[in-house]
Amino acid sequence: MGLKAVQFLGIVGLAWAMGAHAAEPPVTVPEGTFEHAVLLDRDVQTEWIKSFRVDPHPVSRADYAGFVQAHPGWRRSALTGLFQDGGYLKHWHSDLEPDGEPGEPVVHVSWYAARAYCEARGGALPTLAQWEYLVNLRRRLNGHSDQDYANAVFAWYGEQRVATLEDKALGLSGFIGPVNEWLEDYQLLLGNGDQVDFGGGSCGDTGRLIVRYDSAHYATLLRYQMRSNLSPETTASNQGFRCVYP
Amino acid sequence: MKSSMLKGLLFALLGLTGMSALGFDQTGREHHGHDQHSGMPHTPLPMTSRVPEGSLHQLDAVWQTHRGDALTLADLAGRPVIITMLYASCTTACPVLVQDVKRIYQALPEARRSQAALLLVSFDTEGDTPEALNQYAQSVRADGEAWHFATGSAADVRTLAALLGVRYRKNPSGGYDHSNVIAVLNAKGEVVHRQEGLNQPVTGAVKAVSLDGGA
Amino acid sequence: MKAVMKSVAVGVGVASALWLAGCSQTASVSSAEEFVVDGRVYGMPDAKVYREDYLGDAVVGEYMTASPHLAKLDYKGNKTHHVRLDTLSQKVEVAPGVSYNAWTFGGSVPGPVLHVREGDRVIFTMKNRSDEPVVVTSPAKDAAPFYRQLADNPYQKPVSAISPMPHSMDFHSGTVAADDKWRSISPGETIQFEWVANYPGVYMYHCGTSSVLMHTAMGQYGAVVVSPKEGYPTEADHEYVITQSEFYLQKMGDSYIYDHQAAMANNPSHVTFNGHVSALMDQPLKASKGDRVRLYVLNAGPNGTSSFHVIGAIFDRVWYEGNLENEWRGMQTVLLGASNGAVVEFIVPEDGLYKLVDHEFHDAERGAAGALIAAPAQ
Repeated sequence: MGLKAVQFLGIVGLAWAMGAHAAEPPVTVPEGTFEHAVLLDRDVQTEWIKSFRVDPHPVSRADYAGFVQAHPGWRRSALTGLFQDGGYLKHWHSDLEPDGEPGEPVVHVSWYAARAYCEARGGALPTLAQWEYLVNLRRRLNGHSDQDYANAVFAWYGEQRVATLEDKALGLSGFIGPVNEWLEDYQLLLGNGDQVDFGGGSCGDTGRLIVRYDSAHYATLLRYQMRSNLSPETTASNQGFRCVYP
Repeated sequence: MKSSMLKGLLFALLGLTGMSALGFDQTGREHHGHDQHSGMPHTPLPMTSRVPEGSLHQLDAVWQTHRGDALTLADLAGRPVIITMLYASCTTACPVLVQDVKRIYQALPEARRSQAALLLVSFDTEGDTPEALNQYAQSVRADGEAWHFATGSAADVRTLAALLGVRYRKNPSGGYDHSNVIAVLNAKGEVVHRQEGLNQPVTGAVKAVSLDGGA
Repeated sequence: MKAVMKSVAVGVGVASALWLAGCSQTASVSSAEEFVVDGRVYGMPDAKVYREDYLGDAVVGEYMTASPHLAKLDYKGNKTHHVRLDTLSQKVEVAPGVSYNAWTFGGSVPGPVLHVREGDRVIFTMKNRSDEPVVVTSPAKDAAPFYRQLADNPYQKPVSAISPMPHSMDFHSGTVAADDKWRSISPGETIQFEWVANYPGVYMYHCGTSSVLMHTAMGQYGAVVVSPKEGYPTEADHEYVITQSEFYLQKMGDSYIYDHQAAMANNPSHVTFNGHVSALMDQPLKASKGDRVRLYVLNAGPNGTSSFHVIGAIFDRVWYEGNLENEWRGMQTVLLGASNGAVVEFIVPEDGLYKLVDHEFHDAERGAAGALIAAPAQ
């Protein structure tokens, strides 16, 4: 690691620990009601979401470098296979030197690592309801059409293309690319009485899981299911996260 | 994990007062309480630990048992552990899970049974205090020495569930929907058997415990 | 829904033990859990999910071919096949100027054809490599015949791509508990399971991960041909495999993405034989006057039916689903629902051009057409 890198990391490490890193401060999200597009139970569930604060962007590589600087147990060389799949931060130049641009979202992080980061920052991963509420809110406040939203989702999952659906209302980037984001309770449990492990979202379950059969609902279901099928130790090249705070 | 992360944050703040990076490292390790974070090929550290890569003994969550004791999974090192997740106010699946654990336990060969620990961790981090779990243990007649009904932080419960492949969700009626999973940890803390569903045959779990020679 | 066993060593250990157990067997069980009904074997061991460092060929198996080719079964009796078919992303062309980022098995759409014999055992391995760029155009020297055939006729012009996504494998030719064997695996995970080819036929395989319509429409399917134990009563001069399927693509910027509205409305942008509107036109099937041609036809859907017809010929024999018990004679057209298969045979009446079509003409006009050219053998 060169001198420059040491200096750089010293600065981000310091800034990180002070909670005054280069990233923008969290955005306050207004309270509101939210209806899951996916039926998590037999009934349509409307949830009241309390106001919370959220990172405006996915956590950056520089931010994450600050975290592992301060928490040696979460460095690449230290983290065991229980908490990651072997690909943790695999493109980094070293334990403390990220690849790419410092401001780019950190990727190749497991769910365990993402949680540890947010916890150390005094926050947590968003819950499924919080995060999906944000997606809904962005669509509504910015007037994105259902079809544009659905196509953006299909383009992102189909070929990793990020569509330009700007968020002028809340100023939040991400959500439909450039990374998939870990959530605290991302693994779905789709009940069938006590047989909760049956029909948990495999072939043939779509019809009973979405409220309407249009493209937008289907696109949302695809995201719920895709996410739910990930193992928590997965460290995919497009898997990042952001944090929420009370 | 929560406690160690809080400690980590504390050390990060201490670091501002001039502690070196090396100091972080040593302090962090000491407070993690185990040196098994050395499974990656990049590490310069020798593989001194006997804790395998996949061992749940690495989980540093501190549980409160129904007897009011603090318990970590590492405390159970050297013993086979039969582990499940449930909650006390659940009247359908959970009593069956307790019976399933009991059936496995009773079917173990004598020598292994005396070593085995039974750990039943609650989803209900608010309602299931150690006292409530104690009452539950009495009500399901599962209060022998081997039994540990346990509660912990919401984050630690979520972590353990992820490690065991247990899915759960608070439902609108205040209870929890959850997978019915019983897992067997060997003496080193690795998951050597995992079964889903209620009223499953005990053979797989018993075999897994019997094959594990102990510490 | 079943979780990965945490111990990497456990998974790999069992996998290699299975490997060693492979040997010739006829309706024989390989563990106490297995049982036999009417000569068919049930009760396969649990699937193993594990992680491995594997950078080799995505398709491994000497009886794995690219459509329309079918491998010859050059062995007697039954055999245990060790088959690998990794799932990966690949940019492929469906029609001139129309390419999309496909989710594939092995790098082509449809995926490779697997040929086995009724009673054979398949020990199947699949790694989810959707998060790595896998090149399928430069395989190892001793690679599966699939690769050479793909290189000989690269009409899909495959280019490696990355599209991390959980996937699964569902073989219609296997009889197992789907929640175990057909479970989804994350990018980077590998699954291994086995099945016995209990019934002869032309079977579909596909990804069964929700949302299944999109996963299949994105290209995750292919054919398994299980030849009857006793063989067919006829001698075919040529054997070809044809998989019909629909694509639902819409233009977005300079490429094409999945069009869910079209998929729900059963309104495909393209319907193809073997994955490209020109696949069987650029390289037509070949035969000669008087030959008996046997086609293994699969309609992979995901939604539509196929009214399969050969212009100028009548099917002398049709074995619906490829089972000798289901024999029809003198059929002009065979109707195949989504995932139905059939073995059809016809005699080439004279030299000339024979068009293969889905006689549902709205599909033929969207690409479901091919050609067989009959000329004197060279």
